[in-house]
Amino acid sequence: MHLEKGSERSAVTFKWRIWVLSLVGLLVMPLLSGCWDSVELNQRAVVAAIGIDADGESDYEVSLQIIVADEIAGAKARGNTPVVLYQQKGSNLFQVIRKASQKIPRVVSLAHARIVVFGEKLARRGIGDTLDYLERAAEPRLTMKMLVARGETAKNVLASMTAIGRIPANDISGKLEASQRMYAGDYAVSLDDVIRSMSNKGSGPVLTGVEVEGNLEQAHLKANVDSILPEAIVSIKGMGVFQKDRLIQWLDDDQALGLSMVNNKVKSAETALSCGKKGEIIGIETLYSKTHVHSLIEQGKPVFVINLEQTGTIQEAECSIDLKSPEVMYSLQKQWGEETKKVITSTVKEVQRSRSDVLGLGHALEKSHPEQWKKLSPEWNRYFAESTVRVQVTSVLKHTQSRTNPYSKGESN
Amino acid sequence: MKKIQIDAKEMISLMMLFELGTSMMSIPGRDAGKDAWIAILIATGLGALLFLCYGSLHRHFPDLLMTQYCKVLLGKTAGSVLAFLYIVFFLYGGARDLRDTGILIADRTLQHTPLTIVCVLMIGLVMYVMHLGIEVAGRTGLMLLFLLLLLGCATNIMILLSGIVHMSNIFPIAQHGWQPIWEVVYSQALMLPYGEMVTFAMILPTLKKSYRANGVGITAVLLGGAILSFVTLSNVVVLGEDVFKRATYPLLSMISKVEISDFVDRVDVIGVMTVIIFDFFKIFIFYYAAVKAAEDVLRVSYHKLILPFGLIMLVSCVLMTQGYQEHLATGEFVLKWMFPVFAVFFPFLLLMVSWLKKIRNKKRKGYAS
Repeated sequence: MHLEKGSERSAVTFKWRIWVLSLVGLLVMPLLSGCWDSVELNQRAVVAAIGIDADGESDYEVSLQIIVADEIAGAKARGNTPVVLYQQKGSNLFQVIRKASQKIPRVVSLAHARIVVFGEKLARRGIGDTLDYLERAAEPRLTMKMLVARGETAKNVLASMTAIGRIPANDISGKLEASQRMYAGDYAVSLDDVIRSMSNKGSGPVLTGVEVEGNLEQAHLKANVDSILPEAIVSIKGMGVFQKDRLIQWLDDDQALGLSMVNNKVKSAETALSCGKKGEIIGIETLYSKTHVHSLIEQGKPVFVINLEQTGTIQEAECSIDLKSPEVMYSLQKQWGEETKKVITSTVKEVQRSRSDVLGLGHALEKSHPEQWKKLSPEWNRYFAESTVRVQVTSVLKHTQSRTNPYSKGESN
Repeated sequence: MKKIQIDAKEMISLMMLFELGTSMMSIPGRDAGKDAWIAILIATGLGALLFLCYGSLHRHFPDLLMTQYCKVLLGKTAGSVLAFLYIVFFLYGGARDLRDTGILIADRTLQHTPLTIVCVLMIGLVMYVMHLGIEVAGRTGLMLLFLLLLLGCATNIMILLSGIVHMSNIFPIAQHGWQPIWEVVYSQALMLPYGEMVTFAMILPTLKKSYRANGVGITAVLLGGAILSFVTLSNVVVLGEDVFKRATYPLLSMISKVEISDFVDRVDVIGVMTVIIFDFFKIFIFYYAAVKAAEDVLRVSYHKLILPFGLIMLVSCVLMTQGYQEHLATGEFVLKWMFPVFAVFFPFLLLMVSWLKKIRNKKRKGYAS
């Protein structure tokens, strides 16, 4: 009897439990419908690149390069262009991006934007007011690469069809990565790099340059990629030096390479040394490059020593030269070091002329002589331009690739 | 009834989770800029001393909760009043942290979702664990802490591999002298994770008797402090002083920078998850302490208190402030004026009284014999 009573009670609690469970289930059910903030993937317009141009005195014209998902995905493709460029004008970035929804049938999503391109006109006017939105908003990433369209509007750069990457933004970012890795005449600068260097005294950011080579009229047409020889091609070119938020100068080729060297951005680079009397060349690849900047005080004035160590290999020898001999290699090393010194010195001179400390010399001074820095920093522009910079280079040539001596050109020995 | 008991490992992990919850996302001592990590290390040392105080109180009364020895030491009336104040303190702490989590989720990721909904979900989960009891929480905590440490290591490796570490960001150390560092130690870094550890005075009696509370607590404080300092350091090294100071959540900004050659990127979810799990335990511990204290003071059973206290925390969390800035301003005020009273003044008072009583008892014994 005792047992029966027990089982009865457990039956009651069992029933009660089922009731409670179903009540909880009912209460939880609304959660399944999704939340307030849900935006499904097919309601999103994924922005691949943001282009910002000047419009009038203080307004902006923003171009959003938006991926047409159906074209990328394949099955539903209609053979249209893989991206569409939407444009909108307004007085501030946030307004423009929100206003753009009048033209874009989906929710604009900046989370996947990889590059931001400024038109040169805007870059010369000042990019400062556009950065806060990019930094503050939750969606855009700090890792976005920042570029300036050289002598061009950002719109034209972003409206060019590209062959290898179907999405032009990826194509540009790929070119930037590749040239940073192979050539070092430019390097990627991310949003937070720019913001950090804005706050440095007497300095400014450097932004990568990008331009459209060839026929601009054809660049935006699909015909541009229908040809083996594209009418127009987007290419990365040089670095733009900013003072505060204004572009003041472009550095190209060797001078841009010097900038990469001082800022420790070189992964691999190319140097041409002259050899022989007929303008023949020895091509050297940099395998490793590391720079330290020290500051000294001499007679109350800051002096900077840029100390660079590099190793390399010979990739090309046009002249006849005995590459088996260590002595020859030593002299080549010396020549290479001199050449590098020349490159860096010319970069430093050029940057000093622009009065914007994009080489980070101020930071070196701040680190080792904080007192001096406190005194000089309010007018660092001027002091930077006047300070003495010495360059020391240590170079080692490691090897000569798959051959020792260059082939004989039939010249008499 | 079986006595509720917690292992040392579980206690340490609960303490570390408590220490790192919210402090990991807001980084106490951030006003010291790139030297915040030093401020945190100093605060950790002082925090260990502070814990010694709670620990020795516990050694005097190994079986009593803080609210219980309040009454023993200060007499029934004064003790009860103090214990009641502590209930309010614990509830406030829990509600604050609930709001912190709510802000993180509702203001950052789910901007159009009402804060109430986010907080209801969070507190609902905490209430469920409250219902299961602290032993379950201890075991879960151990497991999750292990997971979080693994994720933390993985994130650090990813940050290293992304090549975004710039050691030069932390130099020169103490550029503006040591004065600002000490200031933030006092105003923020000491109270935020370490002063709040007073909550464990309500939980230490559940520690298995074979372990020493002081050793367990100090291990947890030092380990947690080291991790917090390391996280701060890596924030500065990745973001630079300027962005670090201006970011609402430096940890999340740092993690959003992870990008390993198009292969691993957008790992932000790890950061958000970490922060939420840490906060979860922090809310739980405040909540548990409040309920335990109330069980003792108001003489109502533990399970009956869960729902009302959860509702109190939920409502006060939602009504606490209008926005983030106000929340932070209140937080600063509270850390400076209210927390030291509860975390330093009262415990030291209790410790003094217990020492005096001990001396007096000894004297009496001396006379009697």
